[in-house]
Amino acid sequence: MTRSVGALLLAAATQICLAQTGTVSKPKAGEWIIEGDVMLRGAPVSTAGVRATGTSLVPGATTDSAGHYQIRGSLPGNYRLTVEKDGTGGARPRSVNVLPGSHHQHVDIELLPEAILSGKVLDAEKRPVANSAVGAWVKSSKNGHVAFLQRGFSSSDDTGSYRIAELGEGHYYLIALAEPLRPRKRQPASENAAEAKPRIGPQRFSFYPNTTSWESSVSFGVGFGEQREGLDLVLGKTPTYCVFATVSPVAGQAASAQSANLVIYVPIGASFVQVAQGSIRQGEELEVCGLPPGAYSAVAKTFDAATKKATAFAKVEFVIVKRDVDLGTLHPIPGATLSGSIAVKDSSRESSLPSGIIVTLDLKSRPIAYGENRTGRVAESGHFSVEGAFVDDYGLIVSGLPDGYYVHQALQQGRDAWRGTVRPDGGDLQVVLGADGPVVSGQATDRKNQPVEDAIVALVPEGQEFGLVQQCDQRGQFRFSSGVRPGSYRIIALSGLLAGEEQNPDAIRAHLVHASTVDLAPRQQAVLAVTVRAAR
Amino acid sequence: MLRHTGFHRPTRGRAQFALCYGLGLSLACSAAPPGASLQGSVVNTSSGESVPSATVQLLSNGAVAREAEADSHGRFVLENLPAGQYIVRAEMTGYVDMAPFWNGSRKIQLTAGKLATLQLRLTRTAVVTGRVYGTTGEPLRGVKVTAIGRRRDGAAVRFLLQGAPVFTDDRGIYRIHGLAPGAYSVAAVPDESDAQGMAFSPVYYPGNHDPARAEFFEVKEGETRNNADLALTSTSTIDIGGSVRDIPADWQPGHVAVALLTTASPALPVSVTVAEADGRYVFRGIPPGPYQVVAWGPIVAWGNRGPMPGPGGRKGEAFVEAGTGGQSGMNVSLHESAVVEVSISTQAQSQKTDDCLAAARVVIVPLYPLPDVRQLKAPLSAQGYTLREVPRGLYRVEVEGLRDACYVKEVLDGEQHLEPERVEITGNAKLSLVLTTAVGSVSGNVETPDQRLAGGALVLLIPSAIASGAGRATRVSAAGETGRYEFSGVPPGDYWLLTTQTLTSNSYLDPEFRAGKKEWPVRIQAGKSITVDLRLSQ
Repeated sequence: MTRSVGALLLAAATQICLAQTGTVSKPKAGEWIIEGDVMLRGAPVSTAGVRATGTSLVPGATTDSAGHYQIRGSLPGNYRLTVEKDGTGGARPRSVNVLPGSHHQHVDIELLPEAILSGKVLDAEKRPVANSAVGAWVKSSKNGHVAFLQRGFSSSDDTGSYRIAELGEGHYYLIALAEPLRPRKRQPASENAAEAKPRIGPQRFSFYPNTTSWESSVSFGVGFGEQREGLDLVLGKTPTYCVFATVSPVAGQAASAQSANLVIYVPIGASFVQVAQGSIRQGEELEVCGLPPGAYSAVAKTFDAATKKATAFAKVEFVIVKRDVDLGTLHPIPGATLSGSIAVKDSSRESSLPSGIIVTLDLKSRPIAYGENRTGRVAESGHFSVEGAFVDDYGLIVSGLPDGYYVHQALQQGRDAWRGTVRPDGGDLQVVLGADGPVVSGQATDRKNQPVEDAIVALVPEGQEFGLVQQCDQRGQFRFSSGVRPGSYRIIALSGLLAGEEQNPDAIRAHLVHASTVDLAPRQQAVLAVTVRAAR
Repeated sequence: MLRHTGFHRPTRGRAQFALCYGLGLSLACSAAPPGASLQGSVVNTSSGESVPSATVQLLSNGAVAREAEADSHGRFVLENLPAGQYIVRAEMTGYVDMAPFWNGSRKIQLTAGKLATLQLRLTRTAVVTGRVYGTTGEPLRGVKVTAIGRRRDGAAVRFLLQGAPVFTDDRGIYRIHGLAPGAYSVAAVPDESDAQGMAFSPVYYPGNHDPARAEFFEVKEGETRNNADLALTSTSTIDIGGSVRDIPADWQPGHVAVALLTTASPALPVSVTVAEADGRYVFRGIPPGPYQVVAWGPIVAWGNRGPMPGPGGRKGEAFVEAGTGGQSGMNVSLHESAVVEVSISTQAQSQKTDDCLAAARVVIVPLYPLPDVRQLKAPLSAQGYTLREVPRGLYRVEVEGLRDACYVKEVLDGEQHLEPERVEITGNAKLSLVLTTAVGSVSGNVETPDQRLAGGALVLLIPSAIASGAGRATRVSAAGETGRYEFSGVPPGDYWLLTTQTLTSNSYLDPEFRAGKKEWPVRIQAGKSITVDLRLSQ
C-alpha cells in the first residue's frame, strides 16, 4: 500500500512540475504522443537524443533536465524508439503501437554502458598502418540483399591503434579501410609500359582479421559494457592496377560554375566500400592507381555550389583482372524528373487515395551524392514527381500508407518496378495500391501465456525469405497494419536477439522452420497469439 | 638494380653539385631523352637511409602536374616533362618535408633534353600524447586538443595552432601524430562546431587559463612525448550577454551566429552560439578577461569547421574588458558587408614586376578569425579585382604566391598609407597595393667556435614579424666550403640571422627555444648589401 501511495504522490508531483513548465499536454486532434524518461543506473539523463522510426517520419526529441522526452506525430502505426547519449552504448530499442490520438506515457528507456572494440591495423609485415579508418558494422538487409550498417568507427594512429567506443550490443563485423585513393591527371605512360609489372600496394580494405570477403571474415557478438581488445586487422599487399577515365563537361552547364567529383567504390551486397574519391577537372584525362583486382563501380557527378544541388551524374561498372582498365569518357547527364501517379485498385468511396504518401527512390549500393534528390510527395490528384533524380537504377519505397493499404503493383512502361528497378528516365511510373490489405495484430506470449515485451515478430510471405519485422511493445503486442497484401504467410516471434539483429535476415531465416502458417484474407482483422521462441 | 631504361645512374661528382634555393636539393645534369626528366631519391634527413614508397609531386601553377611513387629503395623517376619551373614536394606517412618551412617551397628549373637529379630529404614526424582530466581528476572524453606553436611577431609573441586538432577518447587520452619536430605546447579548446552555447576558455599545458603561463617543450624527430596531460581547472567565471541589433526582417531564427573570442594572445575562439529570435545571446561560465563579441549571418548551415554563412552577409562586433562582475548589455549591431576594390601598382616598372604577379593571389586575413569557413582570396592581375561580401573588421592584407624578390611595399587607401598588417574595413573601400622588387642582400662568413671557417654550416634568415606575406618567409642557406653564405633578393625589413650545424627541428622558430642560441639582428634596406659574420655556438 505504502508503495502505491508513494508512486501516486510522485506522479502528482510530476504533473505539477510539468504544468509549471507548460509542457503537459494532451494530443491535439489527429496527433499522437509518446513520452517517457531516459535513465542511466536509475538516474535521469538530460540531453539524450531520442528518435522514433516507423510508419512515418517524425521529428526526434532531446531529453530535458529531468530526463523527460516527448515525441509527437500524426500517422498511427508501429514506431521504434532508439536513444543516443555520449559516453553510453545507447539503449535496447523499444517499440510502441500507436493508434490514432493515442497518448503513450511512461515509455521509459534505460541507457546501458558502452561496448568498446580496440586493436591495431597492421600491414603484411606486422608494421602499424596509420590513418586507416576502422568501422564496426552490423549486418542488415535491403531489397532482399545483404546490407551493412556502420555503428561506429575510429581512425588508426601512428602505432596503428584504433578504438571504437560508444557501441551498443550487436553482432559486429570489423573492416579496415586504407586511406582513399585520389584521382589525378593521367601520367604519361613510361616508355616500357608494356613490360611494366603491376605495382605491389596495400589492399584497399580488409575485414577482420585478414580477408576482403565479409563471408569469410570473423564476426562476433558483443554485449553492452563489453570491452574487446587485440582485434588486429591486416591490410595485406597485393598487385594493383590503374583505371583511366575522362569526365566530359555537361552540355548546357558552365563547367566553371560546377564542381565535379569522382568516386570509385566496391559494392558489397546493397552496401559499398569507397576506395577512391576526389574532385576532378572535367575534360581532363584522369587516372586512379593502386586498385587491386576486383569488381568496382565509378560515379562521376557535378554539383552547383550556388544552389547546393547535385546537377549531373554518370555511373559505370568495371572489373580489374590483371591489367589497367581504360573507361574512356564518362558523360554525366543532368538529373531527370520521374513522374507518375498513384491510384487505388477497385477504388470506391471507402478506399479513396490517402494523403501524405511519399515516394522515395532507394539507392542500390552506391554512395549518396550531396544535394541529390530522391523523394517526391504525392498530390491529392495522385500525381507525384521526383525532380532532378540521378539517372540510375533504384528500388522503390512508398511510405506513409495507412492501415489496410499496400502496394499492389508498380509498373514503369510495363516493367515490374516493385520487385525490379525504377529509372528516372524510364517513363511514367504507375503505382497501384491495394486498400483491402489485412491487419495482423496480436500478442507474443511465453509458454505460460504471459506477454513477452520487446519480442521480435516476423511476418514472411510464403515462399520468401524476407518479410515485415516488428518489435512488440511493453505489453507484448504487435500490429502489422499497412504493407500487408492478402495471402499466405509464416509468422514467428523471437526473444534474445541482439539489438539490431532483427534486421539481419540470417537471424530470422534460421528460425523460420519453426514458424506458424497463417492465411490472410482481404480486409481480415486477424488477431493472433504467437508463442515466443528463444533465439539462442 | 635499375629497372627503368630511362633511369640513369646519377653522376655523383662533387664538382657537379649545384646548390639550388636552399637545402636538400642538389642538381646534376647528364644526357636524357627529349623533354625534361627528373630522377632522384628520397632519404631520411638524419640517417641518410632511403625512405621507400614516398609520393613525389611536381607542381606547376599551384596544381599537381606530375606525380610518382618512389620504389622500395626510395628512388623515383619522372620523364617527358615540359620544361619549366616546378615546385617539388614529397609526402610519406610518418615523415615530414621540412623544406617548405624554410623557403616557402622547393623550386626546380627543368630544361628540355636534360635529366636533373635531386635528393629529397624527409624527417621523421613527432607525437605528443597525454590525458585530459576534469576538475575532480576524472579523465574527460570528447575534449578537443590542439598543438600550439609560438612565434616572435615584432615585439609580441603570437601563438599558432599547429596541425589538425584531435579529440580525447573514452579514457581521456589524446594523441597528436604527424607533427614536424619542433617546440610545442598543447591546449584543450572548446569545440567551435558546438552550437549549444557551451563555453570554457582554452586550458594550456599543463593546466593554465593564462596563455602566458603555457609551458612549451621540444619534440625531436621520431620522438613520442608522453604524459603531456592537461588538467581543466576550475576558475571564477562570469556571464557575457547582450543583444544583436539590426537583424534583417527576412532572416529566420537561428540565422545569427555569435562568437566570443579572446583578444589576449592567441586569439582563439572561446565559444560560438546562436542568437535567439529577438537577438538576445549569452555566454555562460567564461573567465574574466578581454573579449571580442562577433555576430554574423545569415547562417545557412553548420559544417565541421563552424557555421557557413549564405549570401547577403552582415556582421558586427564589440570589444569588452570583462571584469569579475560579468558583462550584460553587450549590444552588437549588424552591418552590411563591404565591397573592396583592389588595384595593383608596381614601383620601378619592369618585366620583372609583371612576372612576379603571374601566380599571385591577394588574401585578406581577418585579425580575429571567426570559426567560419570563408576565405577571402582573389587572383591578382594588373587590372585589379573586386572582393565582394567582405565583412567589416580588421584585416591583414597579404599576397601569396609572388615570385622571388617581389613583395608588397605598402597598401594605400586613396592617398592614405595603411599598414598591411592592420587594415580596417569600415565600408566599401578602394585599396591599392604597391609591389616592388627593390631588395637588399646580406652575406658573410660562418666560423666555428674555435674561429675556423665553418664549411657547410646552415644559416637561417628569420623575419622579425611572422605575417609579412611572400618573400619574407624564413630562408635557409648553406655556407660553402669556404664558410661563406649569402642571401640576396631580400625584401627590406628587420630579420634575425642564426647559424647551426644541422636542422632537423622547427624549434628555431620558437623565440624561447631560440634564446639559447646566438642570433644576430639585421636590418635589410633596399639596394644595399650588408656583411654580417656569424659564429656557430658550441
